[in-house]
Amino acid sequence: MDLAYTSAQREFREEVRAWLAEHVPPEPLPSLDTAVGFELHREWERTLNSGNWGMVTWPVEYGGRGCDLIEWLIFEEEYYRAEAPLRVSQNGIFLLGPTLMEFGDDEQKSRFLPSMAAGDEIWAQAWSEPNAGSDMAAIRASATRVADGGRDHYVLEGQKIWSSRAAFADWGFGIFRTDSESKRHRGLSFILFPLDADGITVRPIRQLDGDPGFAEIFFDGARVPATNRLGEEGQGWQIAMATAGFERGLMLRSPARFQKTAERLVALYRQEAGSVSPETRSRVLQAYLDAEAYCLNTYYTASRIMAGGTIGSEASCNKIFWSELDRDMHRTALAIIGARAELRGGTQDAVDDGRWLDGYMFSLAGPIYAGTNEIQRNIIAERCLGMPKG
Amino acid sequence: MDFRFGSDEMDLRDGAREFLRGRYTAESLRALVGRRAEDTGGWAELVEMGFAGFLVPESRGGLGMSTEAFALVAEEAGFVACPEPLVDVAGVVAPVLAELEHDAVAQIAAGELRVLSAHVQNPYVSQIVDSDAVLQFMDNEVRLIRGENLRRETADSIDPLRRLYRIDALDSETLATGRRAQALAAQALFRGAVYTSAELLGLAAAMIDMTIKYALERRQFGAAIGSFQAVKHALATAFTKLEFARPVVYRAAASLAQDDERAKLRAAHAKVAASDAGMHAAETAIQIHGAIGYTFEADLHLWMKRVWALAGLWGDRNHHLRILDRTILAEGAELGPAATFNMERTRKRS
Repeated sequence: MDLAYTSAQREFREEVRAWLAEHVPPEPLPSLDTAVGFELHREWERTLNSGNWGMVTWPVEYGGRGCDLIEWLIFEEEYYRAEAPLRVSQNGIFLLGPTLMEFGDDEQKSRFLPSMAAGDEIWAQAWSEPNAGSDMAAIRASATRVADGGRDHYVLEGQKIWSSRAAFADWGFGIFRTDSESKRHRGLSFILFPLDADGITVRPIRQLDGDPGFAEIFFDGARVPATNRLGEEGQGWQIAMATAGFERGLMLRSPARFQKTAERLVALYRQEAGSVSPETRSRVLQAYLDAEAYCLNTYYTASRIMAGGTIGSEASCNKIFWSELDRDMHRTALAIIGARAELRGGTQDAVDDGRWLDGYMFSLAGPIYAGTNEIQRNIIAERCLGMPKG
Repeated sequence: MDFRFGSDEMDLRDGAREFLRGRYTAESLRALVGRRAEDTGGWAELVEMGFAGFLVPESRGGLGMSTEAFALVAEEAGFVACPEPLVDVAGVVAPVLAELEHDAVAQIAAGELRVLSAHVQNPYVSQIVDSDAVLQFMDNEVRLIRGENLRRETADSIDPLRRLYRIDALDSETLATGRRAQALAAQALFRGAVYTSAELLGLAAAMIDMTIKYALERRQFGAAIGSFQAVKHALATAFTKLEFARPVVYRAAASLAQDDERAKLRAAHAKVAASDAGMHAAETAIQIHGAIGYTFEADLHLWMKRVWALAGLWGDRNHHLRILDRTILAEGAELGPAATFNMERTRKRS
């Protein structure tokens, strides 16, 4: 066991730090869930990519740097330290990207990965349907294969909902029923589709903060080439589960994000220390310790993966831990801010320009998205602890 | 940066696991309770396995293993609710005596002598038998009290396998005084806190395991209670808490070799996280056992009561939280990723 960074790792950290210091916009960008903010965040993705920092763990040929997981963690630590913008392309780079590398063919990889890394194509995910939320195997949206003289395509019908980023994104990915006779997990396929295709209608949905971070997607006979299917026909569930594994596992929420929030919380506490109750003070401390524990657990897991191990159902533990931690931290911050907690950003007296309130709202989504924490606890009980399905 | 144990360390862990799980079963622990045994009887075997001298340098007859590897052994001892004073003798006292270059260290490794600890943070010494000596860490003095000079008075622990004593010395050998004594007392406290934390991890894991087993056997409403979401979710939560305490304890164990302010903070974090995970697992376990968990009929109480005891040893939650509070919430504290690991490699003491 060696818990010190190597000199190469320290140099890498310096390199990231120097580049970010030069390139991170001096002022925070407007919300990425607004039309203007979305494009500014896209610009930022292009800037990142110009320095080959778009997705450091990807192979060089797809615009990455071939970094290992420890370097990725270092990159993320520096990224949050520099208060760089949120990643508008996160559905693509963190979720679809790794899935494409595992299940895509060479043509698909070279078609989609570079433009994803460059921010030229921003991706939305399309899992849930009005009657398929936690019970994702209940999906009904269909993709019917039509033979067309060597240019086979799928005709998409149905509806997807709670699609993050879909209001402004370019492409979507999701699972569709390709076998109309099939039930539950069988007969599903993983399909990529352009959101501006004929027969696709996107209806933005306002989230708690008032911005259209979600959308509903309606499919009325939209046609996509059969080559837009990832993996085999009928393999959709398996591929989606792999994607969900990336999402819950290491990549979606790096520990740096929560350590940064914890540091901000400690700073907020110090600023207001005179009026903070001992009970709230102890919550601040606990939040800091838990954020550090999350970091330790991630390095511990990353070290194992780098030595050939895998992350399995214990990814569900991660998802529970970070999502509940994030909510606790923001709730504690609002408790410290007190009567000013309700003030929106842009208001004169709003503490930190309303970031804690925005963060609290977003943290409430954490235990819901990427599989609710109830579903995660089922997974842990059934797959890690060997308990029976209820 | 490599947050993994070496394969030799994992092999030793496996050896410890196999031995301890064979030697200490619920039945054998119950037998000890019934006999009110003074001597728990397994020490010679632990010495034979090399555990007494696990952290003692090879030049003095020990295994010379890393500080973090001993956490794995302590975790296995916790898993079986081992009643031997393994953490105390091998994890705390032996390394301190080795640092003092005291001859007793070779005797410990060879199984000729057991030296237990007395520390200002711990009001009682546990598991003494007649031939044992005690290394006492006082405010300004560290002293060795041989068995023949030891006066002891019993105190009653709720844990039926912990025998507690208030001690006094007729005569003693002073090993350090002043600042040196204070530094050694602090070092003993970190070591005790970290390895007790590792024991707590093992205790928590065992309670979760025995509760799963019970929930699969116990049927109500025509089904195993383990199939009910309320029960599954409670266990999933306890498991998650345990999983996230583990790397905190391992980092603290690896940091024991670096003897600085950070090692102290990491030990404090470990004790808080492991005590919380242990207490949470215990409360989850008794709730799922239901009425039988509230009795001597189920094995659970032996593990649960050990958790209660260990949570208060080597600095309780309050003690360690105050250390963390004073540092982390203070102006100018180094926080975040920069303080999580070491930027530079620090020289390890052998």
